[in-house]
Amino acid sequence: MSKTTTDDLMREFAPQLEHTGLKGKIWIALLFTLVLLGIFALYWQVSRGHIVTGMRDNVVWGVYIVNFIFFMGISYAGALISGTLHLFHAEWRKPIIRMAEFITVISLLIGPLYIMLCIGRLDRLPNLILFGRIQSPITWDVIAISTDIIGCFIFLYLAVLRDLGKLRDFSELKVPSWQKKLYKILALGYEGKPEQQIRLKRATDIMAGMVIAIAIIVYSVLAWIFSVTLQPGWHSTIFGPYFVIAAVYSGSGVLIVAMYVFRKVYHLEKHITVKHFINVGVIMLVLAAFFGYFTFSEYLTKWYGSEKNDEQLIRILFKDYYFFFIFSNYVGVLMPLIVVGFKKLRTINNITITAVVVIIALWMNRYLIVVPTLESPYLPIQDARAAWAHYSATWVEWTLTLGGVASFCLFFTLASKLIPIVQVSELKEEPKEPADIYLR
Amino acid sequence: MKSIRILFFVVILVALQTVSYAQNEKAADKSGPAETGMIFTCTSTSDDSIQLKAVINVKHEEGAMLLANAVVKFFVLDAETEISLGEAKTDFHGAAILRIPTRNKFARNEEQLINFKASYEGSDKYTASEGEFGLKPAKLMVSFYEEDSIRYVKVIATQYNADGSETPLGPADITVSVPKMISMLKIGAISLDSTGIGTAEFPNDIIGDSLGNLTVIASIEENDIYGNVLGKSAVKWGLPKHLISPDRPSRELWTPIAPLWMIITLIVMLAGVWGHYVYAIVQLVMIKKASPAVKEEETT
Amino acid sequence: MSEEKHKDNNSRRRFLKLGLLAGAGTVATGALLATGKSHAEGSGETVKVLTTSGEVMEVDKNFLTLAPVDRKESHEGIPGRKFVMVIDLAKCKNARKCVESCQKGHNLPKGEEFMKVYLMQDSEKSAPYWFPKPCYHCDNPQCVSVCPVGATYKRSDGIVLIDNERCIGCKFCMTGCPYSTRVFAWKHEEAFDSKQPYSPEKGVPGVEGTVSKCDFCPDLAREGKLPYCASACPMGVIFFGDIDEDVVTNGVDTFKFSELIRDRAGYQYLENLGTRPNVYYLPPVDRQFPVDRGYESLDEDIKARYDNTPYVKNRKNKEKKS
Repeated sequence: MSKTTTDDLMREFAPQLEHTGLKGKIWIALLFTLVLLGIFALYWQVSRGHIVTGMRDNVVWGVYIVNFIFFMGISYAGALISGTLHLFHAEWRKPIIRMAEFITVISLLIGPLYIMLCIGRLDRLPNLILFGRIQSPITWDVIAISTDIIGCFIFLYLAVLRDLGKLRDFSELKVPSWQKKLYKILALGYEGKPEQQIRLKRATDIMAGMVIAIAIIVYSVLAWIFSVTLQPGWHSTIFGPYFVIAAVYSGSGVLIVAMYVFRKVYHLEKHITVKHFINVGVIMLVLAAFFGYFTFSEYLTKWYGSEKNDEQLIRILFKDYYFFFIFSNYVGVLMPLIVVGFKKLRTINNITITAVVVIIALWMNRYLIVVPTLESPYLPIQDARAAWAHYSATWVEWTLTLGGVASFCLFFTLASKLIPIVQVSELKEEPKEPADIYLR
Repeated sequence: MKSIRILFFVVILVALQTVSYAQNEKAADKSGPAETGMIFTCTSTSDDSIQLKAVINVKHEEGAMLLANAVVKFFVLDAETEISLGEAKTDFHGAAILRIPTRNKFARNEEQLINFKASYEGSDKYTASEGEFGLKPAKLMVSFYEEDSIRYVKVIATQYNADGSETPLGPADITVSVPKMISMLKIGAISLDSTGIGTAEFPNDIIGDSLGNLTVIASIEENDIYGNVLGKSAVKWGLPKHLISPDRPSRELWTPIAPLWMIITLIVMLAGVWGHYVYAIVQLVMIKKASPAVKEEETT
Repeated sequence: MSEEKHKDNNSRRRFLKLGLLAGAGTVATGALLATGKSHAEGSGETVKVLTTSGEVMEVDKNFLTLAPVDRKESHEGIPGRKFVMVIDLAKCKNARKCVESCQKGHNLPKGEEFMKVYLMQDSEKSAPYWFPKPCYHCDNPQCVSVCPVGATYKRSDGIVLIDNERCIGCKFCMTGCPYSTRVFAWKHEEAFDSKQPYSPEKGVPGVEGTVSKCDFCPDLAREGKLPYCASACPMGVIFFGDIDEDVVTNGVDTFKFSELIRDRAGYQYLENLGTRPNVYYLPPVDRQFPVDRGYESLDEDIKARYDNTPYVKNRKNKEKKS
């Protein structure tokens, strides 16, 4: 019975894997161009030095670090959402978990690239491993991110294993032979045998739990890079949880956008319904509330205490960054609450638009965390050069940002061509208890 | 008429040319040898010698630079003649030093001062310069004593007269100091009585070396008669100095080695996480092993 | 090492003092100076010296005193020393000689300063004053704690140095320092091409894409000399010494450090941050010069730096009104 359904699903999804339409090809070409532009900007920066960016002696971390935090943040959505939903045995998650897992892994590949752009001497990168100091938060981050990448890869692989088996077995699949061979090798001879099922279930359960724990730890480590310094504006006790919440929040937004795009492009209306959008939208709503709460808590304590440096920071936020501040902390918080909170407003389009707003708002929130603090240090910036007093990103940084986003989309698109974007295998295929198997 | 006017102008022109040429020559002369300056000082030291030190510097656009390898000749001025004492080359600090014994029979002037002169002849690149310094040789003897549990430093100052006799020094300001890393720390001032002896209380809180040794220097500086005089002695009245600053810990956030708890926490966490990874990978390996293809291989 | 502008009396007396030191001081200091291994000929940094044949010669410092210290040796501090600096805010008139001589000594480009002079005003009604700020070489250096590769380190003599051959340019130390002390080499400078072998104690030649800062000139301290800033200051604002020896000097005057701090109420800047800095300030009491003197004589581009300070804003308001 289940086999027929699976075959039907395979027949439905096979076209995605088998051919790319004209629109798809144009899309990929466009992304590729943007990536090439990014590589050019990278070459420009490497050959001329970091002077081509907008960073100077006071604001030493700019758009690159913002992008780094942002991409690392998105990845935790995949980790936390798919991990948590797995552990809660939520049935409705089936069509979207593949997307979540892809988001996790791909953004983990792109995020660390941005740190490398910020490093002055890339030729000395091995020093991080050869001479790493345990007391440094960056070393913690290096260890944490490497652990995270491996962990999320393992998790993705475990999740995809059964689909790989299906792809290998589906004889009607018209893909190049190298691809078929790839499926065969990667499927590890998974046939759905009881022993294999048990092992897979064990491994997946453990990794699901691990991925949640790692996501929280890794993102807290990233937050601690900022909060252990003495900079007013960074030296906050709640940065760890604040960053984790903001990360999952942004990730949920990206998930919704991915759902919308793939639903449109691959005609998945049957599988991804408004119910899915509402469910993820509710997750987004809850996270928006938490995010708003944390942000409010941060700024309330700073503003009320009116310590000199905190006041200076808040003054800069409201003077130079007014639009960013309002958009990210008000619109970004209220919009999901309103759109998802009111039944009438819960349409697919509305929720997707909200998700886009959330993504942009959170990027701006990261920017507001990184840059204004560096513009209001303890010692007043007394420098006549405008670039030293106020940060403004240059074309190199924006091009590389665009390049990173394009690579994200490109990898995502290519991955969806390799493995069906909606999980093909049944959720229920695995036995609930090992005892079930032996009851035959 | 016309020709006379022309001749007139030609003469003027030639005159102008000669004048400007002469001026150019002068200017060229000015860009010739660089101007040097000499600072010449003499010091009577407690090892019964007089140190003659000449430092030559050259005025340069970037400031003054020290001139090395320059030969400086030292003389004693005796009535009208100059008696050569010797010569020395300036080192890379620009200083040429010559030492002569304090007890000497050099001629003195009316005030019983010996007049020394140092001169640098110059070269085609540098102008000559010279300096003069007059002093009456003197000696400071430094000693220490304790009375009623108060510590004192005592200086006996003498001068060497022309007839070879040693008599007490006249009134002079004596500074007692202790040499430190870069400079000298003044710890007391002494005024001499009529017998050329003076004492000052020795402070109890001067830090010496790790054993408490101190070098104490009594000095007279830029005195009109005696020039510069130095007397040196050692005493063990200093507070001991730590060789390593006492509050230097071995495991802190900023030391090369991390605090123990950090290392242990890291190892435990990594072991925990990667242990789970290994478990998951082992499961995958077992899945592969349990596949029918492999099983077939095993059974055949 | 010659000072440029000095009142003549000061110069001569100071010179004599240093001359006397040469004899007496080396005995005491020689016993405590590190026996740096002497390197083979051709290594090390040079000093410009004129010879009688008129050449400006770059003489290897080997011939002068001790050889420069290489990267590994630079992790060891000068034994038996712990350096401290005292800055007398009452005398600073923003002559900027400290800034310039430090830039010259470290081959810095014009825009980069290791010693920075700020125009500070503690609160609305208090008086503005000039505030020279070198690196404080803190005893709890946040910059050292956060460096992921150990490129910056604190030595036993208290000096925090940077090894520009190991620095990866992540700039975490720049965000870790609450005193905005460190500067970054954003682009390649001509001075970086110098063939001099690199020593962290001198920081020359610089390296593109790495961080640098004031280093208390340990190469000069090994020779018993004051750092560039202290020697160059015409007012004798900067005192330098060994805190364990309890003596600081600005080249002309020598004081017991503990007495100086006690009598003049020395303090540390932002010491509540827990950094434990090794630079003490003497408060601007009985100022020798009004702030206007230091401001009016500046070049326009340097003047523009202080445009956002209350002092300059008040000046401009007064000018507008009159």
